[in-house]
Amino acid sequence: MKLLEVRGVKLAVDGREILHGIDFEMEQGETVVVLGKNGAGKSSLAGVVMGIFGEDKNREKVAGKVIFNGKDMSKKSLDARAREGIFMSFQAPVEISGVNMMEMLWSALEERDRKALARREVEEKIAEAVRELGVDAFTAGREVNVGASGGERKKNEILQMMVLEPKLAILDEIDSGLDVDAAGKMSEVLAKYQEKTGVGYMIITHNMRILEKMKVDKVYMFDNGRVKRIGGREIIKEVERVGFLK
Amino acid sequence: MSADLMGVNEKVVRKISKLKDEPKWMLEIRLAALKIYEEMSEPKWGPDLTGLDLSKIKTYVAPETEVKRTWEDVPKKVRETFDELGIPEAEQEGLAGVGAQYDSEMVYHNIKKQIEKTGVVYLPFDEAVKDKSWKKVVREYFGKLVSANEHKYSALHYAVHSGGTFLYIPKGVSVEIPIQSYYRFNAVSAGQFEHTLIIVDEGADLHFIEACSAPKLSVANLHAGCVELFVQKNARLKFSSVENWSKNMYNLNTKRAIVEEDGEMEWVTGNFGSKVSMIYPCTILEGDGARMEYTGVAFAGEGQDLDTGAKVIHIGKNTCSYMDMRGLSQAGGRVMSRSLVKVASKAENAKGFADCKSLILDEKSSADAVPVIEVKNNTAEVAHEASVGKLAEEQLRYLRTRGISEKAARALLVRGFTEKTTKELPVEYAMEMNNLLRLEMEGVG
Repeated sequence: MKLLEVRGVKLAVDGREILHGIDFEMEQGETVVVLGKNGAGKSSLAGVVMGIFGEDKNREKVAGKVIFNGKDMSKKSLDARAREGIFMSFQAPVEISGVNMMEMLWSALEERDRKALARREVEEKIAEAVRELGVDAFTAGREVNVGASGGERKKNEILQMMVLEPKLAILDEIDSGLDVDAAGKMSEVLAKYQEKTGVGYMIITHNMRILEKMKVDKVYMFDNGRVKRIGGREIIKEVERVGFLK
Repeated sequence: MSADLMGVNEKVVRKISKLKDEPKWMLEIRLAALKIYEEMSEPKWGPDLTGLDLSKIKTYVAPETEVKRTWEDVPKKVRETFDELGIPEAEQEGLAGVGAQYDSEMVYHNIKKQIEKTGVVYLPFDEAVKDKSWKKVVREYFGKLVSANEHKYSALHYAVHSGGTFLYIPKGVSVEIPIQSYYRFNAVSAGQFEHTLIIVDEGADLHFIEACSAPKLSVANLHAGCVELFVQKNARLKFSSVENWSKNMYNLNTKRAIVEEDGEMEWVTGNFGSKVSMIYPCTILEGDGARMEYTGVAFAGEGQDLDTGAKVIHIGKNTCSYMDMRGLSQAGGRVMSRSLVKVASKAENAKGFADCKSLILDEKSSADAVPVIEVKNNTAEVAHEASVGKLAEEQLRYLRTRGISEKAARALLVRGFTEKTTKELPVEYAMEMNNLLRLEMEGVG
C-alpha cells in the first residue's frame, strides 16, 4: 500500500488557481524531496495534503483526491488527518501563550489514542525526543514557541513530530533559521528517526544541507503549480549548480 | 418558613437585629444604613439592574441550625450539600480552617487545633460581634473600609447583613495552609449579605479562600456581601475567591483592602455565573512600600453581564501595584474589564501597571476593557494595556494540525488565556476553575 497518493489535485484560492492538477506519490518510509522556486506550489500541496486548504469553502476550492494509507482523506478534517498519522511542520510556527508544549502534546495524544494517558507516559515520550534532539530539557514545560528564536521553533516542530510519531511527516522548510551546524544535526536526527520508525518524509526545502545525512528516494520539481520533473538526487545536484533554470 | 423575612424596611431590619440578639450599636448602624439605602438612587452606570425587585427578595432566610463545630452535628440536608461540594474532605486534606454559610447563617465553623494554638481567631461574624474578647475589635474595624455611603447596595448590606467570617491572625504568625469560608445559596428569591472581616497583624501571613455557589434557580437572587481586609505592617494576605453563582443572581459585592507599610495584598479572582456582576475589589496602599497584585478572570455566557475589575489607590511612598484581568464572553454574554489606578499627591515613586485583556469567543458576544489612570504625583510610573480580541485562527489551526479537535483546541486556548489566574490558586481550585471554564464553554455551566 502506498503511503500517499495525490491524484489530479487542483487548488484555487479567491478564484485564482494555484495548483493545476498535481499527481504525486510516496511509498511507505520513503523520503521525497519537493523542490521549486518560490511560489511554485510546494507549500500549497503540503497544505492540501494536511487539509488546511478547503476549510474556508467560500475562499478555497480543492479538487482531486488525497489518499493516505489507502484511505481517502478528501472529506476528512485537518485534525482528523493528523490523528490518522499526517504531521506537518510550519515554516513560521505561531506562539501560543498560556499553553505549554506538554499540555498540547498530552491533549493530542489522548485524542488520537482515545484514552486517558498518565502524565508520566507523556513525559517519557517527550524526554526521549528531547534527548535525541539535544534540546533544553525544559522545552516541554514552556509555553509553545513563546519567546523562542526561529531555530528553536524549528527544533520544537521536530520534537512534536517525534512525540506524535506520524506515518507521514511533511517538513516545510524545516531548515530555515538553522545555522549550518544545526542543519547538519537536524539532518542526522531526521535520518535516525526514520530508520527507527519507518516514517515517510515529504521535504520541502531550498537548502540541500538538510538532506546531507538522509536517504533520498525521489525528487519532484514543481514549477508554476505543476510537477515539472520527477527524478532522483541528480535533480538536487543540478539545482545546486544552476538553480531552477532547466 | 414563617421566620423568613421579605423586603427591606425598618421592621425587617429590627427583626434581623433581634434574631441575632446583637448589641445596640449594631442596630444603630443598620438603621442608619437603611436610611441611606432608601435615599440613594441606583447606580447610574454599568449593567441593567431593573430585574432586581427588592420587595420580592427574602432578605433573611431562617437557619435550619445553629453554628456547629463538627460536620456530624450539621443537619443531614445541609451537610449533604457541602459533602457534594467536597468541603469536609477538603478541610481534612488541606485547610487550616473552614467556615460554611447556608443562605443567611453560618452552619459550620471550625479551625484546626494547632492553628488555634498560635492565637488565630476564626469566628462566625455574628458571634464575633458578641464575643467577650473580640467585640471591641469588631466594633473598631467594622465598616471602617467600606461605608454604607459607598453605593446603594453597600447601604443595603449594612442594613441587613447576616453571617460571614471574622478572622484575626496575630503578629508574626504565618498560617501555612489556607483557611476557607464557603457560601452556599439555596433559598429561592433571597439575598445573601455576609460580612467578611480579616485582620492580618504585623508580620503575619495568610491565604484566605472565599468560595461561593448556588444551584440553578429560576428567579432573581441577590448577593450583596462585603469584604474588609486589613493588612498591617510587613504582613501578607492572599485572598482567593471563586464565585460560581446561578444564572439569575445579581452579584453586587463590595471588597476592599488596606495595606500598611511594606505589607502585601494579593487578590486572585474567578467570576463565573450570575446574571449581573458588579465587582471591583479595591486596594488602598496606605503605608510606604506597600504592594498589591490582582489577577482575575470573568466568564460571561448566555444572558450574562459581568462588569468586573479592580481598583488601587497609591497613598504611601514607593508603593507598587500590578493588575491583570482577563474577560471571556460567549453565547451572547457581555464582559467588561475595568481597572483604576489612582496615585495620590504624596505617593512618591509609586509604580502601577494594569492589563485588561478580553477574548470574545463568538459573533454574538461582546467584551470591553476600560483602564483608567489618575495620577497626582510626577514621580509615579503608571502604565496600562488593554485589548479585546478573538481566538486566533492561526493558533487554532496549529493545534489542529497536531490532531487536537477544534472543540478541544478552543478549550486549550481559553485555558491558556486564563492560566495566569489559575496558576495562582491551590491545585484543587485551579482544577475546579478549569472545570468551570470547560462547563461554561459547553454551555452547561
